[in-house]
Amino acid sequence: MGKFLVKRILSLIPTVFISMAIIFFLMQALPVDPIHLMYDTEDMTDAQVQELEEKHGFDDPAIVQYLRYMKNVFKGDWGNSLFSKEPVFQAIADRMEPTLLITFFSTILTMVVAIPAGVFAATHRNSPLDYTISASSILFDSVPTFWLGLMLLYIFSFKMDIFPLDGYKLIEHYGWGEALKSLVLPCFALGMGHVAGLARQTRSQMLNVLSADYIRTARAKGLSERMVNYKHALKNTMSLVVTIVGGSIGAMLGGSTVIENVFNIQGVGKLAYTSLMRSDYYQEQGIIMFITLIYAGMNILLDIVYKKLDPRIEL
Amino acid sequence: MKTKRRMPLKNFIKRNGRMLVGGTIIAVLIIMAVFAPYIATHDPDAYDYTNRFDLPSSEHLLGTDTHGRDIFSRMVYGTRISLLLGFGVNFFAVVVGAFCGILCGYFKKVDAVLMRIMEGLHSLPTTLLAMVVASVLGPGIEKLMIALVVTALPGVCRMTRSQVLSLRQKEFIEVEKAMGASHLRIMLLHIMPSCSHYLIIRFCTGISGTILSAATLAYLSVGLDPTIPNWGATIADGQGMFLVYPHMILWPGIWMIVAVFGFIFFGEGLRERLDPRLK
Repeated sequence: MGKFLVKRILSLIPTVFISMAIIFFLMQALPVDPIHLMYDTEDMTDAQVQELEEKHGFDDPAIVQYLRYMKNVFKGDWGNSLFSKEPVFQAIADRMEPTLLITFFSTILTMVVAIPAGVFAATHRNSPLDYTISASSILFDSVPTFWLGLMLLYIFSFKMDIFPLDGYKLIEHYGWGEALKSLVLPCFALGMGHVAGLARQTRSQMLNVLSADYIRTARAKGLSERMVNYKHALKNTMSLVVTIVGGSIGAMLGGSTVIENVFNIQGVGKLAYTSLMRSDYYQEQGIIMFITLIYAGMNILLDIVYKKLDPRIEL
Repeated sequence: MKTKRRMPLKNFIKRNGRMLVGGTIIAVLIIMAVFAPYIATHDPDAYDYTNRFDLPSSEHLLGTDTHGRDIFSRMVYGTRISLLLGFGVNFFAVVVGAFCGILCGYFKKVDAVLMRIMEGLHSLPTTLLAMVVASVLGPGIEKLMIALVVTALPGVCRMTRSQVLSLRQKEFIEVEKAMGASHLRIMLLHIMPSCSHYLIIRFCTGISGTILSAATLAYLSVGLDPTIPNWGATIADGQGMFLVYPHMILWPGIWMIVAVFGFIFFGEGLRERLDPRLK
């Protein structure tokens, strides 16, 4: 397992390096001049501006700038926001509480709803319940996340007054109870879109597994239907389910931008949105780096689970 | 000689039910997009400050928005953009992605470089990547199209590549090679057709997702000029006063759900018919 982990982590480095290169070079193409955002350049002469550019290395070729940026990132210096002048990483750390909690609870919600639904649909194939689960999963797939969020706000916060309307309540100020209460709707809105896909994939994978030879053997040797379904089939289904969950965690982290805008939550996603809107590209790069790293880390964790479930897998 | 037997209508509906339902919704949407000026009851951009926040009525089928614009007409015109993006993005994603995928599966050297880039793209958060590309390129339909193609590309490329890798082992390709066929001939005449049904499935199942992502970006006012009527922006416009006038986002949302549902249903039906793994 140790060797496997090291190999897995090492294989990540080039991917992260390339991902960030793509983002870095895209940001270079933004039609803004960082010097004018960092300093009040109105009263400066061209020579002074040039001097500042040299000081920050903005006149170096893009590839040199990129390598320097990555070097600093690994040293822990993620640069400063062009707008607030604060360290990029600090801004992310201040806002990551709601984002991580939303992603975590949405993932749990997705798994708790989707996996039993998919398994049930597969074991009761072609029953009315199977059709109901399939149809409602397609229906949920069609619902735009932001619209679902707004409707939930209207019904449960405005009309019924069960959940707060005014965004996220920090644990530090309001305690866990209030904080979790303010996360119910965002998690539901974000999670429901992924429930559908996961339920469908679980169902089709479970059906695949149920038609395998070893299932027939298990039945032939007289195991109860329950034993066949839950011990033999489910375990083999789970290995695929784990990879899908990994993919949806990435989508949820990225999707936090949308959901945090709808619910007016001051999280990393909202910060990514405002930073992009005001061309604060150091901040934006930092956030994408942060999300990519978390996503990569989550995937390593899931690979471990995957290997535990199915030791034959070579990664 | 074999004569083709006609399938009883009942069986036909049973086998193609999903595609029929989905296809009907898609047909209505296409008609709406093509004949938008005849179907829309009002000018979608006409401000009318005496009729703001009107509830749905026979005059304004889905009511009016903050500026008194007719929501039904805006949604009808918005269909044009949604369909254009849905079809366009997936067409280009499938064509370019298949091209990259075939090259990757066929040439080891290309694979080493191109697959790395695709993996790099793949591990970036999709929504954020699309937002960044769209803001770098600036507003415009064709630019938003590029942004969405970029996010869809890695998936298609990876799928085609794995198909090509398994096809390369097959006898009929080996035979072609032994007979001295050129790489281009093998790729175009043998590998391409063998992948084609996966690509058609990918094209159809991708449209629903693209329409949703495009609406999400428009909702965040990234990528499209918000004054051009489109589905996402209509909901964003209604957001400011929606607690008081929920009809401004309720009906546009349901409209979108029906449209996306149609595309998913059609795609799933098609997948069931075409995908050899499901047979």
